[in-house]
Amino acid sequence: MAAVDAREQQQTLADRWGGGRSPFDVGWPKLMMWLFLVSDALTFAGLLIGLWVVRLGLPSWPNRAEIMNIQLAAAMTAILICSSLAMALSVYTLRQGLRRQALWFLAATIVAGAVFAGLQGFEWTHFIREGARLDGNPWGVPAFSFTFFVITGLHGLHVVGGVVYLWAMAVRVAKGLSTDEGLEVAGLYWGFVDLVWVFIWSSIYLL
Amino acid sequence: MAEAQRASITRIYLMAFFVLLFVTAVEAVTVLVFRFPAALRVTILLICALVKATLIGAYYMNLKFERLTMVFIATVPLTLGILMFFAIVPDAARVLGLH
Repeated sequence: MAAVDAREQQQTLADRWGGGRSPFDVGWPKLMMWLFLVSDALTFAGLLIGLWVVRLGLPSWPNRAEIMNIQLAAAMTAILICSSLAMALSVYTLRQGLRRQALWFLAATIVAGAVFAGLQGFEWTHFIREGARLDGNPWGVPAFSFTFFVITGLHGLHVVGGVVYLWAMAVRVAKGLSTDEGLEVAGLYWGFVDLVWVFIWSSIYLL
Repeated sequence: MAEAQRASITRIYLMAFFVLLFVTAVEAVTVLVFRFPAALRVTILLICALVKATLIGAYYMNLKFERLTMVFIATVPLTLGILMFFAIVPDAARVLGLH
């Protein structure tokens, strides 16, 4: 009896972990996206920890309110939040079978992402014109502009990559080539871009 | 029935959206308008960031509607990352400051 139980248990484990089916009862694309996002989150965590180590080790840090346009960054944050709402609604409406509505919401997400990237480009241009470089700046703390460019630059690349990804998904959804799970996976990526910005906005502009 | 469920989900997403906007406004006002002591300002901003991250993870990344194992995949490494942050930063900053 015990041997049969053990065999059944082994069979169950083999079924679940043998590759034929996800152990978490979710599709592989979604599981793989989550694993990618966790590793990406640790990359950003490393950068932000680096920022704080350097910053707390220095006797002073420039006053951001005097140098940066906090209102512009707040508007960028609001735009990203709007895009997350549109993305969530796009996934939800596609699940309901409302493809046209899903495409409209997806288009709104893409536009918001592009506007965010444009505003970030504008902010970078302004910052560079004021004399900020990777290796120095007029405020006397080289690490200040270095961390700004590296962290917001990596996030900006994620936004631009996300816009391209969502554009490709829009084409696939329009042609009926993508399932709602495919769009949900793209939505996870976009939610992550917003999530990371929460900590970048706090660490670089506010705290 | 389906219509009611659709309205309910949409309402949840909209509520999360408005709370996120409100918290962002609180963050901006905390820095731009008020002159709070540093400790209070940092506490407010950290709480705001955690509230926003939780809302985005729960509703816009669907973790609230996922199986618990999926929630663990997402949250355990991040929790460890936050613990690492609080473990490393003060010591590293002190050592760097001494140099």
